[in-house]
Amino acid sequence: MLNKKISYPKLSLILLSIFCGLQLNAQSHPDDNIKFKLAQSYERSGDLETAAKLYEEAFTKESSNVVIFEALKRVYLQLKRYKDAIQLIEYRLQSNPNDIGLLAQLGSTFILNSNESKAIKIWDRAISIAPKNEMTYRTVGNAITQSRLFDRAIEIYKRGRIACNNPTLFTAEIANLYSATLNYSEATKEYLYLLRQNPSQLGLVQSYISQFTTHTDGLNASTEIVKEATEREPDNIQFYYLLAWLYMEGNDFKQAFSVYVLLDEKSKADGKEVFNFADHALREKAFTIAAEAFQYIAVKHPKFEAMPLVKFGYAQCLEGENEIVDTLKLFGDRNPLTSLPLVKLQEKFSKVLSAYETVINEFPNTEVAARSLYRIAAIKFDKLFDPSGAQLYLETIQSKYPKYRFLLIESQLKLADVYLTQGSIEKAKNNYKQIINSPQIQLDIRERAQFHLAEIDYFNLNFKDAITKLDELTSNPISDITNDALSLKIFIQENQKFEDALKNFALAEYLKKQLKFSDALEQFQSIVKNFPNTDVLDEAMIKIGDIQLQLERFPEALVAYNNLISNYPNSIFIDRTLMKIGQLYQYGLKDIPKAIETYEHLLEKFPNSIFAVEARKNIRKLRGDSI
Amino acid sequence: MILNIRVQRPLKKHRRLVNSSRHIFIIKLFILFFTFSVNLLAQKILIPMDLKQTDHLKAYGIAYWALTKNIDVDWLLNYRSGSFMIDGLEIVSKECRIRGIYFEELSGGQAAQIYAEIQDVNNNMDVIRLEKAPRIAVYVPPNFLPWDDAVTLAMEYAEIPYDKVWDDGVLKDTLYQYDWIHLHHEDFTGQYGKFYAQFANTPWYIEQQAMYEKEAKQLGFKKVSEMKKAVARKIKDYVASGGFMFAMCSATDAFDIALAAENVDICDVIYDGDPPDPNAQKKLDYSKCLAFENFTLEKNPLVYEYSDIDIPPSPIAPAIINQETDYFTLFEFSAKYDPVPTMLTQDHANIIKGFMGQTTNFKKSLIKKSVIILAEKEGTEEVRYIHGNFGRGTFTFYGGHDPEDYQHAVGDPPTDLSLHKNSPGYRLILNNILFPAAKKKQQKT
Repeated sequence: MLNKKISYPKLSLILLSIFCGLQLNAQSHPDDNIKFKLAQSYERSGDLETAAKLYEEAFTKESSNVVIFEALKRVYLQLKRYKDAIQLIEYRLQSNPNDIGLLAQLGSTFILNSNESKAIKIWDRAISIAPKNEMTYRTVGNAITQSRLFDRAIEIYKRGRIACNNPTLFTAEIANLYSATLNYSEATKEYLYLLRQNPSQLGLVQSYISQFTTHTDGLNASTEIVKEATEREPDNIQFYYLLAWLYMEGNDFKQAFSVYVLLDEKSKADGKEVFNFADHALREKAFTIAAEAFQYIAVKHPKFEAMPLVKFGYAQCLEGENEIVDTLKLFGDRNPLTSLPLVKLQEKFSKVLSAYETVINEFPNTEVAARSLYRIAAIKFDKLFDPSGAQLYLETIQSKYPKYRFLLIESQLKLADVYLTQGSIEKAKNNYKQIINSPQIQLDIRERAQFHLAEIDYFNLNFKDAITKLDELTSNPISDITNDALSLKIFIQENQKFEDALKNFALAEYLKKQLKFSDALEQFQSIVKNFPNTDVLDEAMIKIGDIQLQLERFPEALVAYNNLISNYPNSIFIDRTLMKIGQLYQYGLKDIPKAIETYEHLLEKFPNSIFAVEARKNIRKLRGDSI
Repeated sequence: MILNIRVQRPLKKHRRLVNSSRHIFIIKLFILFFTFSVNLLAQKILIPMDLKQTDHLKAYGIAYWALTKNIDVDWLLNYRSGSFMIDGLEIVSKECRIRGIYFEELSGGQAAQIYAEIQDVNNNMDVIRLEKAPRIAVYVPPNFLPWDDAVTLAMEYAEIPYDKVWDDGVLKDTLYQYDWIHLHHEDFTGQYGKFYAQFANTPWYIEQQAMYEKEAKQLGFKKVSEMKKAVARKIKDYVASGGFMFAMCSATDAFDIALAAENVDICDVIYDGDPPDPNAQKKLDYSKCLAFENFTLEKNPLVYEYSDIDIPPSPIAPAIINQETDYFTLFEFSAKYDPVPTMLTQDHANIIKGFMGQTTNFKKSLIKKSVIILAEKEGTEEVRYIHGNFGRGTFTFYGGHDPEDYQHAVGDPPTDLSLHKNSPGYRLILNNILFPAAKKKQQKT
C-alpha cells in the first residue's frame, strides 16, 4: 500500500532513481553490457532466437534486472515460447510474490498458452493480494480486457465495485465492454449510472449511446432501459431528457412529446420544455405532433411568454400537414388530379386560415401577425383560387407592416400576381416595376418580376417588347426563371408567322390566367376551329384538355387529349399528352390497367422522352414492384 | 445460326430430285421445316451493348430476368460490344421499355444475318447460349459496415436477386446451393482489414472485432484469423467442386494470403492477442494459393496493406497515381477459341478509367503462370483483372473498390448507379454474374 504522505511527484522520482540504478547496474559489467546490447541488436534485426539466447545469458547473471527480464519476456512472447515466458514470470514472482502487475501478466500469458482456467486462478490470486484496492481491479481488469475476455473483465470490474463499496466505480469501463459485446441494454444501464452520478454529463452520455443507436436493436434496447429507469426513478430529470432524445432518434415524436410533457411538469418549466420540443418537431416536419405540442402549451400555459410563436407555430403545422408535393408540375401550380375538389379544399384549409387569423387578432402589429397575413394570402391565392381574398391580406401588409422589408417585397410581388389574375394589368405592372427598381433586392425576386412584365407584354400582344424582356432573362443560365423565359420566348418567335392565331392564343392564355376557365375553353376551341393549319393548334388542344381537367370534367379532358393524339400524331406534345392521360387514368379515373397501358405506350413511342423516367416509375409502382 | 446452316443442305437435294413423288413429300416436309425454322428466328430482340445502349447495367438484369422466365438468351460475344439476343416476345420488349433498356426488334432474316456474321471465321465473334439464371450468393457480414460493395450495388441496380451468406453459412456448406459467390472487401487474414491505425477507436471497428470474436468462439475457433482461414478453405473447396468465385478489392489478395498462411500465424498482437510467427514469411505455402505466389507479407500491423501483391501499395497510392492518366486496358481474346475470357471482357470500351481500393492492382510478377490476365495498365507491372481455373470451377479477381468512385473512403455514401448507367468498369462485374449462366462448351484451347 502506498504511504499517503508521499506525494506522486516524489514517488515518481524515487521509482525513476531505482530504474536508473538498475540500468546502471546492468551496464556495470562490461561483458554483460555488450551481450545485452548485442541481444537488442539481434532483436531489432528480427533474429529473435539468437536474441533470446543472449538475453537468457544476461538474465542468468542479472536475474534481478528488470530491463533484462522485460526484454527476455518480450522475445519469448514473440517467439510464442509461452511456457518459457510463464516460467520466467513465475521465477520473478518468487522474489515479488505480491506484484499484482506481474500476476496480471502471468494470467495473460496463460491465456496465450491456451490455459484459461489457470489464468483465472492467477488473476484471482492477484485480486486476493489487495482486494479492497481500486488499482488491483483496474490492473487485472485491463489485463483481462487485453486478453479479449470481455465478459470476465466485466465480472472483475463489478467485483471491484462491491469490494470497494463504490457502485459507480468502473462505469465507463464496464459500459464500453458491454457495448463491445453488443449488450446494449447493460451498456445503457452503466451510462445511466454515470448520468445519475453526474447529471451535467448528459451530452457525453448521449454521445456514448449514439454509437449504437444507429442500429435498430441498439436503439430499442437503450430506449427500453432508459424508460424503465424513468419509471423507477421518476424524479431524475436527466433520464427524461435522455428518453425523449432516444425517442426522437427513432423518429418517434409522439412518445417524445409525452416525455416532454412530463419533463415540463417535473421541472416546472411552464411550457418552455414543450415549446422547445414543438419547435424541434416542426423543423423536423413532424407536423401533427408539433401541432399537438403547440396546442398543449396554448391550453395549459395561457400566459406563456412566447405565445405569439406558439400560435404561429401551430398554424404552420396545420398548413404543413395539408401540403401536397407535386414535383412534375404537369398541370401547373395546381394538379386537379392529386388535389381535392375546391369545396373540400376550402374545408381542409379553413382550420389553417382560422389559426393564422387567431395570430393576427391576438397579436396585432407583430412580425408573426404580418407573416400570418402573408400565409393566408398565399393559401387563398395559390390553393383556393380566391384572388380577391388574397388581395385584402396583402394590401394590409403593405399598409400596416412596412417595417418588415423582406415580407413587404414578397407581398408586393404576390399582390402584383393577384392584380394580374384580376385583370388589373396596370396595377400589376406598377407593382412589378416598383420591385425591379427597389434597391438591394434579391436577384430571384427581381427576375420573377421581370418575367411577369414580359408575360404582361405577351398578354397585351406586344410580342416584340415581350421578347426583349425575355432575352435579358435567358442570358442568365443559372436562374430558376430561365426555362420559363425560354419557353415563352420560343413559343412567341415560332408562332409570329401565324400572327392572328398567336394573338388569339395569348388572349386565351390570359383568360386562363384570370381563372376564367369557361371563357378560356371557348377561346381555345375557337382557335382549333379557326386556325387549323397553324403551329399553335396542338398546344391549343392540350390547353382544352387541361381546362377540362381543372373543371374536373375528366372524360371530356380524356377526349380532348385523345383528339390531339389521333389527329396530330406528329405533334411534339404527344409524349407530354400521353403522360397526362396516364395520370388522368391513374389518379382521376382510377383505371390502373389503362394507366399502365398508357405509360407503356409512352415508353414504346417515346423512349427518350423527358417523361420516360416518371412513366417507368409509375408503371413499377402500379404493378407493385419492390423497386 | 445452326438452323440457317441446316436449311441450306436439303435445298440442293430438292433440286436434283424434283420429279420423284417421294421427293415431293420431302420438299413439302422441308418447306414445313423451313417455315418453322424461319418462324423460330423471327421477331428476335437484340439488346445492343455498344454506345447505342441507354442502360448497359440494367441490360444484364434483363438478360437475367429472361432466364428466370425460362426464355433463352444468346450472348453475342464481340458483336456490338457483347450484345444479347432474346426471343421477340412481347413481355421482353415491354420489360425492356419499363427498365429503360435500348433494344432493336429484328425480323427472322435480320437475326439470321447477324448469326451468320458471327459464325464467319473471319470475325472474332461467337454465340454463347445462356440457359439458366445462376443462383448468386454474396459473402457479407450481417452488420452494417461503413463501405459499400460495388457488386451488390451493381446487382441491386440491375435487379438481379442474390442471397447473403456469412461465415457460419460457408462453414456449414450452404455455398453449394449457389452457382456463384462474390467476395468484396472482406479480410480473410483475420486482421480486420488492417484498419487498426486509423479506425481502432471507432465504434464500428470495435463492434466489428467484438462480433467476429464472438462468432469465432461460437463456431469453435480460438481466433478470428483461424475462422477466416477455414472460411477461405471452404470457399476454395467450393470452387474446386465447380463453383464460380468473383472477388474484388482486398478480398482478392487477402483470400490467397489466408490460404498460403494456413499453418502459420501472421496476425500481430493487436489483431489476435498474440504476436505473429517470427518465421511467418518463410512458412507461407504458395502452392495453396489460387492466383498469387512468392509475395511478401506487410508485417507492420499499423500499415494499411497486406502484402506486396497490391501495386502501388495502398498507403502511397493516392500520392503517386494521377487520376487523370489512370486507365487500364482490356485484352482481346479469341471468341471462338477462348470464350470464357472473352465473356469476362465484354465491354463497350477497351480502355477503362482506373479506380482505387485497398487492393487496386496485382503485381504481375507475383501472379501464377496458370492465371489469365484480362486487363492491365499497359507498360507497367500493374494487373487489374485476372481469371483462372481451379478444379472444376473458376475464379476471377478484379482490383479496386468502386469503378465509379475513384477513391472511395470509409464512410463515403454509396455510388448512385442511376448516374452511371453506362459504366464500363461496372460492366466487367456484371459479365461475371452472367458467365455462370453460359452453357458449357467443350474448350477449344
